[in-house]
Amino acid sequence: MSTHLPANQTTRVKLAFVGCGAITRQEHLPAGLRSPLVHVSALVDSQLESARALARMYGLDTFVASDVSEVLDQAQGFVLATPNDTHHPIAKQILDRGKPLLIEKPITTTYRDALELCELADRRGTFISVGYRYRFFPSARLLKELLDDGYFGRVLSFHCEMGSRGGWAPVSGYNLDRSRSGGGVLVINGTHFLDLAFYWFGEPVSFRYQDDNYGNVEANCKGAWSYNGAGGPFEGSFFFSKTIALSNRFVIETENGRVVWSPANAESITLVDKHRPDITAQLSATRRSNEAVDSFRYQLEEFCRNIDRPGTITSDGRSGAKSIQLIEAMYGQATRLSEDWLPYRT
Amino acid sequence: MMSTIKPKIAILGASGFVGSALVERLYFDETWRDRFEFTAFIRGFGNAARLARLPIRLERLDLTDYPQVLASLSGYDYVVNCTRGDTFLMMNGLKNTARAMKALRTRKFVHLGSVAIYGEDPPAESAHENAPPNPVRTDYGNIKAAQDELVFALHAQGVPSMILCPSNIGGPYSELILDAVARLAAGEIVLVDEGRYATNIVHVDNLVQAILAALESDTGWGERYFVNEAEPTTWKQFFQDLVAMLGIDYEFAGVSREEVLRQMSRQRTRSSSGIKSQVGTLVSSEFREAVSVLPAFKAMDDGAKRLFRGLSPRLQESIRRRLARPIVVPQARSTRRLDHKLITAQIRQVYHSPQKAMDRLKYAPLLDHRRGMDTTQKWLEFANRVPSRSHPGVEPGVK
Repeated sequence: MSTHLPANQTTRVKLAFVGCGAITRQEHLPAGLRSPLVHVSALVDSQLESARALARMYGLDTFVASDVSEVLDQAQGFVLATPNDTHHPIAKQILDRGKPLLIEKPITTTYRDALELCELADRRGTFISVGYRYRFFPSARLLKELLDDGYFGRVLSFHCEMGSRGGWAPVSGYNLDRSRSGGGVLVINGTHFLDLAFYWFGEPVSFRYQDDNYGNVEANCKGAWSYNGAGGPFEGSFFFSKTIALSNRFVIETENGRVVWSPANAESITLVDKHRPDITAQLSATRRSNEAVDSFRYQLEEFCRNIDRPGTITSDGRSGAKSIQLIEAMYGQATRLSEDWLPYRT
Repeated sequence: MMSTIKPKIAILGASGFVGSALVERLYFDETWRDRFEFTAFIRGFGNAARLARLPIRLERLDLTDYPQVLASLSGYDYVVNCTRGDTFLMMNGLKNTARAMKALRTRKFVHLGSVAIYGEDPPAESAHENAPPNPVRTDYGNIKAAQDELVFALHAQGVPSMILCPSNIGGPYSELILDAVARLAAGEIVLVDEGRYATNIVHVDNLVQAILAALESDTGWGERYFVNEAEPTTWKQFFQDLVAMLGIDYEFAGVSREEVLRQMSRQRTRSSSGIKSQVGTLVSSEFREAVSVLPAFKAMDDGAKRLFRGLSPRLQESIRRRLARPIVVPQARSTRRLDHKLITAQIRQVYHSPQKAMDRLKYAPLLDHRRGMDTTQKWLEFANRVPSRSHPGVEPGVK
């Protein structure tokens, strides 16, 4: 298991942050500033004033630019967090120069574009990391290990749900425009849980999918993925919502009991023993450090270590591409959720 | 030849609970879809997912920016105000909207008011709209009463304006319903005076029906209308319906109205004495120790300590005595609290009749109580809040 420690790296890696919206302001840039491995070499935003404002906010005397082409030579790696529809053209410029790229999820809005980026990275001898930060939670890694080891016995089924009323509001509002976001709650939020399902259970063999999209971006979606697990076939259902607060967790039914993973608990997972359902146990890996889990920083530091010396990439471009491939397939076969509570529907 | 130009409606606060329901009605119901054109105006992008699934006109509007309001509302025949927010937004936003509508000669303005203008324990005469507002002890009621004055003034200045006053709003997406379900599941609901008073909970689709009736009306402008169900429903009936949806056994404990009023009064007293206790906390050693980890506070704290030590021992002792307070051990809380809205709302003895809206605006509720609760149940099932009738045995929230 990765320790998230600098691994003897002494020089800071020069990173350019492309896109100075909410996620960079609140997460990526502060994570970089917390890290001993990162040197913020540039801030880039098509609205130059946004880049300047962000630099001022953190007291940074750093280079600011309105186009990534201005900084391609001065950074060793790039953190791309712009509206989804701009990932592909900007990423192409970066990868074409042979520079490594940490790209916010989803990697692109289409599978074709995602594959093109992966192939370009291969040709230029560089790499892509995709910002699925939950994979950096010790609890998510522990669950992966325990599932792989058969610790819980056979997986029988799971249900995952993630939902809030409103929530994340990108500065540009691209999340409300399908042509810019590539989709609704499935792409914006559900993709995190979809990625975890990939991480823990592998690729589903089939799916069912419904949403409430009437020509723009869905606010709710429900469905199920089917798996051919080592211990036999099983199904996992999902519910993602931008209108309803949900429990935000995976509930996995296994031979040995019910396992619960929640992003609210980055350290441990809960096991309700099959034979003693009145007892719950918290399972957590023994850690060497008492520091609070800092997933955005871990993600950046893994990226920096890979720039310094190629190693494991927790969520690489091809796994990001698989996510968008499945999303695309689900959208392609979507049926409409029944909103039978609307009495006047015609 | 008949004109085919449809009136254009600007819906302000469209991403809120009522605004979203209005937009959905105008989009999904063919009867109304063909009658109006509309634009959904929203303050920000964070809360608009319910609207963004529809291919509608969705525009961002900062109501506190008058030039923007004026430009945005230009060309609209009708304006419906469903906005909520802080005092500044509610007052300045409405002032700007009124000023713009006056300049633009808007044809009709429907404003959502509230029966909160009659306070938390409304008098018997507030069963009808001619009772004067008296928002005793509620900040929200005071703001809504001040808004009503602005709306009536606007009407007097030539923009036909109307105030629709719901009380509690139920139906799909209702926070009140979600709260009630959660509290019933947690065993926290008690009935006040056997739950015999009217809930005044109007189904959101009935409120929308009233808005549409108002927009269609050529008469009755310049007045306030209560919007409610055609028949009162008691709190006991309401909670029993939700208990049935949850499929749980629930034994309702009871409390008297007087006890709840006493509790509310004590709560108010505690709130007003809270400032005094906070000042005490500021000089406590625990607080000073806690904040001294911050460099700026540490410097202040050290300075205060030096100042204090410079005083004579007698003066130091006198200050210590003045600031000394007995240790208060808080009582273990009962699970049945009496200070949440679903208890305090039960003290209201008045049913705010919608008769005037029914007579003057031809408001006819879309759903009766039974059908309204049925739509609520369907949505709660969708939201995993109650077991699904089509999939019995499914545990809410887990599946």
